[in-house]
Amino acid sequence: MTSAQSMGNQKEITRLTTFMTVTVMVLFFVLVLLGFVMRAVQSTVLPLPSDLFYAVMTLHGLGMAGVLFVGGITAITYLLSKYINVNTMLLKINFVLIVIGVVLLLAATLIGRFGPGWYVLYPLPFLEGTWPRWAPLAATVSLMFLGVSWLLWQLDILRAIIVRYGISGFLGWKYFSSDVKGEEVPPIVIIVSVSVIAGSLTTVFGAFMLMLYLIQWINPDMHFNALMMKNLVFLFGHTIVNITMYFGLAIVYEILPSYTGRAWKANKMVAIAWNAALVFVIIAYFHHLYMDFAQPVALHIIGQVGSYLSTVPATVVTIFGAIGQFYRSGIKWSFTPAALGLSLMGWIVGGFIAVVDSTIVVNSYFHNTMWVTSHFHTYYILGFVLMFLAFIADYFEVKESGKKTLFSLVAGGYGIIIMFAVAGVNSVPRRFADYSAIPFEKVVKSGQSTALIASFFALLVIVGLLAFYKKALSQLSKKW
Amino acid sequence: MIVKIAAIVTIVVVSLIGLITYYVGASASEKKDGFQPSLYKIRSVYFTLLIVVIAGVLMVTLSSESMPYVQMKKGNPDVVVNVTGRIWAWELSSEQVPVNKVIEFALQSEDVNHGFAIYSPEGKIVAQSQVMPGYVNKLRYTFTEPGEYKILCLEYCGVAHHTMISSIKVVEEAAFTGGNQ
Repeated sequence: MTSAQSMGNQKEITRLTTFMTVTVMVLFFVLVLLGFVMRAVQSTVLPLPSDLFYAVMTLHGLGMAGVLFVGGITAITYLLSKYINVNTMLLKINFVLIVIGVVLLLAATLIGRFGPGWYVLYPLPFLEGTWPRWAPLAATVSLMFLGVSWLLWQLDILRAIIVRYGISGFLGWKYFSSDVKGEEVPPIVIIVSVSVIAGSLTTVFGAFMLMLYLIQWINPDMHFNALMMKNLVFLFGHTIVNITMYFGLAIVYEILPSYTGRAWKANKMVAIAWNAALVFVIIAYFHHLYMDFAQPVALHIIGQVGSYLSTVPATVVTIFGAIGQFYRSGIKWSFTPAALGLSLMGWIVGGFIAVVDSTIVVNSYFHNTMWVTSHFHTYYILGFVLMFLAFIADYFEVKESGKKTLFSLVAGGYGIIIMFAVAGVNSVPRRFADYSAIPFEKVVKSGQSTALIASFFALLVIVGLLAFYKKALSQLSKKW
Repeated sequence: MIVKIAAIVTIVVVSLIGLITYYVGASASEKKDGFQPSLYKIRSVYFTLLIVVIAGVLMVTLSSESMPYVQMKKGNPDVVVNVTGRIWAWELSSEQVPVNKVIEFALQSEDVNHGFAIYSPEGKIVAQSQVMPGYVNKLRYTFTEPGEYKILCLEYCGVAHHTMISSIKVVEEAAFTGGNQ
């Protein structure tokens, strides 16, 4: 490629990044509003029919998982374009596929009131009389479009990385040798390689599951094994959510050094840690099935051991690496490094809440209570979202400290997750449109009052987001 | 008890994470290198401690009598209650069970996945299992206090999921009249 072509390609990547970032920001904001609505409904402040509540819940859950994954794709593509040759045509095709997927999902949930929850647990989507027959088809086809789009992106990124860094470089294997030769591999490359290998492998299983969904829709008399379907959906869903978090960490590794002034290079420890993460991220999903006693016990134990061991590379390598970045670095604080530091804290807090719940004897009490909701909201709001916002601030060159904005986002976020956790400790079930039928006044009160308090904290997040968007989007013309 | 321990441990660890974040953040404005060897030493100690803690907690929790699968290996139950879940109701073969006896709930679903969660009279979850179509999941539990326990569905199962509630009475052995013994 000539330098003129390369410059043209970079301009196109910048435009596409801006376009996709703004799209993700808008969709994310709408989904946050839906989250606020759900908490307000659970607190009884806002009335909403149950079928609409569960449709909104499904849209919020599936939408967040998808939108934040696409946010990760956007940031990673831009950051990697410094190192590898990004296929812009494929990015455009991806965008079209994602739009089709989103439109179908909106139609299924808001028009068809399709509401089986984000993990569309078989055979609930096909329960007759609950929603119109076309709705599960629209949702299945929507997920197929999204899945194809994500699989194509992951395979193409992996191809481009291997072309640039070779087999010994893409997963950092060359650092296992005592005599490291050739050019350095940036940590972002190793993290993205690990993520897309896990992501594309499990997307294939997700695609297989969706094919079975399609067959089931065509022939309602057919029945597939429910335990197999549950394994498939969590293998796919858990991994996609987890690698979104890894994309966030890749953002941290890549942009933090420019603020601390310290290099964050790959080495043997980083390579070992992330190769280990590849194994743990795939086996950890078993912890979703602890309460399925038909599943072999050995798999439950693998789930707990895998979940526990995943803390080793995460804290020993990434957190100590981050401490080495920040500690006495003479950093000039602005929104980006502050958000990155807080996001790492959120990631570890969310991870710890998950480890507690991944303990089988604890899961017996917390499974499908609000405790679980606390875990993944910490991962997202206080982890990945802060990482993504830090990327946006860096990308749009937002110079302000944004202290108030960040305070609003972080205080709102912790308020939300603490309310979930308190409700979980009080045995409040998750996914209840209405707590009033629960035959224990204490549980009802805990559910409703924590939902009410969380609604106020959600407003704080909304205010923080609006303030941040105003700052970031005022720089929009620079990146168009 | 387990819930209390989990909550306290979480509060302690999360507070510690917050303190470390604050300490590192507060130090970051100052510029000084040369601390790296000390950091590597702390990392080595942390690594060793983490492995020891993980191994210890895994051993204690995985060998615990509270593991829900352990009870299934302990001979025959004293009473079997057959439970069928269907949208949005529970059908139990017995409405009462005796206290201090091993009760086996044989759980099956006629339609979609459900979650069979037993709440104590105080409103706390004491045991639970998923209820999956095509399988009979067996949950064993020994009630140690008499009273009216409630059954809530904890696996989302459609628009009236939150109303799928039933109850079971735990009575003294002498007062027990039903069930498949």
